[in-house]
Amino acid sequence: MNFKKNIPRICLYLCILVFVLYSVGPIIWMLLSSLRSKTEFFNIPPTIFPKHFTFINYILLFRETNFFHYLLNSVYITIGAIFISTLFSTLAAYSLTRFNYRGRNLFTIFSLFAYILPSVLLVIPLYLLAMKAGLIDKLTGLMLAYIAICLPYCIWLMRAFFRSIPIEFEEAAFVDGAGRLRTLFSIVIPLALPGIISTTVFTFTVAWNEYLFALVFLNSDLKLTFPLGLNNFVTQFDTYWEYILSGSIIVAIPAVIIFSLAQKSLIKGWGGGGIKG
Amino acid sequence: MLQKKDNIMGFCLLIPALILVSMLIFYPLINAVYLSFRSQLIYELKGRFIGLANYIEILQEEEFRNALSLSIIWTAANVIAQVLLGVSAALLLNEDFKGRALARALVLLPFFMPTISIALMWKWLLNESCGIFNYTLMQLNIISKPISWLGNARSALFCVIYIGIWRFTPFVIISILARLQTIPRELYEAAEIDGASKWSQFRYITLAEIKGVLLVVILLRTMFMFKKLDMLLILTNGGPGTSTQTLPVLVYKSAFAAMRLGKGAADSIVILLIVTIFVILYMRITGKSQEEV
Repeated sequence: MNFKKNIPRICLYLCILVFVLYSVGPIIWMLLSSLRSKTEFFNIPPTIFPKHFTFINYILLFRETNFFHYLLNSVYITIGAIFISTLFSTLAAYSLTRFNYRGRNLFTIFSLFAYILPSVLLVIPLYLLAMKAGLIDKLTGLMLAYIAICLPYCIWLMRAFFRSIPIEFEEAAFVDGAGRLRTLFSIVIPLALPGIISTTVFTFTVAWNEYLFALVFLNSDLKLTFPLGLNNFVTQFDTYWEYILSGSIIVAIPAVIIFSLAQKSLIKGWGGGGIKG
Repeated sequence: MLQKKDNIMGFCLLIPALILVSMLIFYPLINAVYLSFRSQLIYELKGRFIGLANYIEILQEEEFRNALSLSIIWTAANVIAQVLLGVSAALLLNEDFKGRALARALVLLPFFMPTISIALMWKWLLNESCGIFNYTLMQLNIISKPISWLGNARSALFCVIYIGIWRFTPFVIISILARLQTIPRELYEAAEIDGASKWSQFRYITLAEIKGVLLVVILLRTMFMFKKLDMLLILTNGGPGTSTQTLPVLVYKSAFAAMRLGKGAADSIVILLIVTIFVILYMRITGKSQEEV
């Protein structure tokens, strides 16, 4: 074995190890902490591995708090937002790429511009709008706001995908006598599936993470989504770390699974694809 | 094949999206501009026109200048560090080594976790009474008593920037790594034969190839970091005092804590103007590379 020759190799592994630890170390510490009982939290010195692994924090989280409600609210809003923004953006993008009418380009450019709008700018007028429409403290109001945030970028994404699908497929279907809508649903949408996955993941990320609109729109405890619910475990008098840590882990699971599954189409959407417009 | 009648049907497919975008984005945008010329408190149904008073107040107040400079520090520090760290990590992860797939998956985790999870997690790590951070530093005799990292005006800004870098570097890694994988190996082999040093290979092949993506990534990160609000609200709520109160936090505070919707709207228009500059740059660059491709 030639040790000297291996030095660059060892350095490489060392650098990667350090960087991986820097990235996941905090998360592992949170996971380990959530698996110890509350009494073990404040041990000095802290035990790296819990003396007794226990799921008690997770059990109490569901039994003693409204966390399950928060979770259900988030799931409801997220699924609704995904469904509507995907459906509407698919229809809109198909219309924008396959038909010819005035104002088409203007709408496309406005969609891109709308994606860049700071949400903090929209939150004030949308709050006033929701007040007038009686949608404050309603899950539907929040869902509508999330659809508004997501729709422009979804349209932009789907448009890029539709443009990459050769129109010959549809023309062939026309020749066979299929109508416009039938062509859309039986030929175009299956081909645009990678685009639909991208819009789904994008909308999921927004709706699952969103904090500002939820903070402004929602008041009553049973209506809260989990970002607010979890943050409310930090109270003026006490911080319920046992609930915060276990809850943070639970809500991270679906996010990590979805991202890992969709990673490839995601990179296309914002890495390579984003550059090609 | 495309007839007039057909185009009308095509337009109908756009209508659901058009209605939502006009009602929930276009109208609010106009309304925000309108509000910025008015004085309206949150519990008032109607405000009154006050002309440019909100904007004049912005130009004169100390709080806005403080927020603007904090925004610049926050954005610049984040973007520079994310890009340097992200590109280095992408280069490392592009090498061949055992466990590469696992390492690539793991380093992306900070970006995949929900905002609330990572914000509360860092509060737990930096916690004064039982945080691992304070404990470790005390064991190493670097500090003598626990520090409230996020509750201290001098360390809070530093900490939120560190957390921002930790969370968003993976975005740079993914984008750069995707591009690095498309560089043909033959380029390096040819350079090797010509006797090019590792450094000049990096300089003239790697860097030249990733330049386009890098520029886009820098612009995107700048826009996103400048607009970032949720993490700061959860971590410090702009505090202690105004030590982490960037522009977006100031908008939130003006509109919903001080309850002055008009002033908040005016603040947010200023953010929009600044972000728009980057959008125009972004469109120019992506438009250019589209022609090249």
